[in-house]
Amino acid sequence: MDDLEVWKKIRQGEASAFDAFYRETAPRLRAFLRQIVGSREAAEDLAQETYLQLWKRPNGFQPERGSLRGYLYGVGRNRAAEWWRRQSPNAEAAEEPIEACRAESSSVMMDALHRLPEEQRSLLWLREVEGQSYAELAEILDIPIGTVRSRLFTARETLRQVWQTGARRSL
Amino acid sequence: MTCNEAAEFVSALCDGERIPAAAAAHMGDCEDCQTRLREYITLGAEMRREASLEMERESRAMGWEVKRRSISTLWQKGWETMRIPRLVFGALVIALIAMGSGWTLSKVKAHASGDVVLLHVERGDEKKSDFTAALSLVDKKYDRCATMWGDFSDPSRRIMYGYQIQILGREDNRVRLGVKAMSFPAVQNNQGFGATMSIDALDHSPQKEVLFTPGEASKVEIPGFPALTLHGEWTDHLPPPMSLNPNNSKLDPGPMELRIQSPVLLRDKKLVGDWEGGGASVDQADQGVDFAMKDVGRFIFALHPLQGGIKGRIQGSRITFQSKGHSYTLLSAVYVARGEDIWVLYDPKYKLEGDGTVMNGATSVSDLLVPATAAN
Repeated sequence: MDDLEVWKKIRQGEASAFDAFYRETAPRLRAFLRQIVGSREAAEDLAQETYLQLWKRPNGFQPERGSLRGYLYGVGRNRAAEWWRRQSPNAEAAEEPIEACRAESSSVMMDALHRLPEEQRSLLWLREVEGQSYAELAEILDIPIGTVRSRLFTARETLRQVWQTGARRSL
Repeated sequence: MTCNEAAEFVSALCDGERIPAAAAAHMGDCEDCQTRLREYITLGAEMRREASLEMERESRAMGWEVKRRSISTLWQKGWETMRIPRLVFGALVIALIAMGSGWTLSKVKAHASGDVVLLHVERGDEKKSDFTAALSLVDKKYDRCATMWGDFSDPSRRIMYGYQIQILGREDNRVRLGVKAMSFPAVQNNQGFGATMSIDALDHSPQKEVLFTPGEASKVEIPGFPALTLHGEWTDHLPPPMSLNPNNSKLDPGPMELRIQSPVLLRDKKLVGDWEGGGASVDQADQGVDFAMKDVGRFIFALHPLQGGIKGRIQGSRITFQSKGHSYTLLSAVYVARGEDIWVLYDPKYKLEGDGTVMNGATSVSDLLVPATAAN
């Protein structure tokens, strides 16, 4: 069953279809959200809110604008941004690396990733881990498709430099 | 073309994009750009490897209701948890010894009507998920829960904390809760530090009222006690017991799991004990569960041989055994274990503490056999 069929069943209130979709996609969404908020438990809660929104308001997804999974990540990212605002009303999550992540991170890669601004981190995660297309990335992150390539390059280059710095420090 | 000009196309190449011929030609001859390409690929692979580790955890169980707005947040984790229904709470004496391993005591009833809050309680500053309880505004037998845990971090001051949370009423979408807390010193027994207490003592503790909004986190602070953090959602029914089990919400018991929920006890086909709503489960080899009732005695059940115990038989949700010329059958609301063998230690002369009439608990068998000492 493809995502469009899943979405149609969700609109019809078929809990079993939604549950199957949830079980299939939740670990990935949760991992993505954890990169943003830095806390496993907060990511879990945000994932639940995201699925709840999809379940309650499935018409928020418009098939002509992208994939259901892309929509899911977009909603999740917005939820994460709201979460950040609640944590610190004056902070802009997109501007600052997440220190909180580092407390739960134990790998050099994750530590390096968490030093990137949120948008670069999300962009890289969605591209490298989730395999989202340029068009889907533009939709999820609400950026022009023409800038996806350049921003991905910037994110990769930043990560590479951070990674190299970290590797040198660990020598 | 220079390396700086080609760099963005190196990134695009990683994404499977086509790149201009000039960039492709440069990269073919440029060692630095090839190194950059390999590093980008390595970084991507490393991210996916880390992500694979992160995604290993299973999704929490959820309930998706078609017509209602409520949603269950039925996930729990943690150890040393206990919940007690009102029916048995007033006279309940619980002897629970908090050790490093886990023990649980849970109580819910399925298919009851009424407004229900699935309350998820986190204890202290550890941000650990402690337990989920279903509290009913309508069914007064299920209007409260309790938890205990031990703080043994300070060797000179090992303390047990006990909390009771009762649902008092509803104000619009908010829930009025009454929270009580108590503490008492842990004592050393044969396996470590723990405590035995009468949870009735919580009835005499001052009650703090809090307004809790389902869907939002709420911190409950009582001076002198670790704070609790509450989460929760409205739902329209009391969920079945196993859906709240922190370790295994499946119908099928785990390999080492022993679980008994809402049991009734028949002696020679006559009802002699009814622990409606009471429940306990363990999943470690040395652990057992116990059920006791005034004028009936105490039964310790374990999946391993017990000294002085009787070998019984498990058939699905039923345990049968013989003792002193009587035939006993314990009927549980859930499947008891995977295997067929069970050992029962029956003490017909067991005296409950205080005014208690029923009790149930779960921990290591050696701890269950430690003589109880009231701490209240």
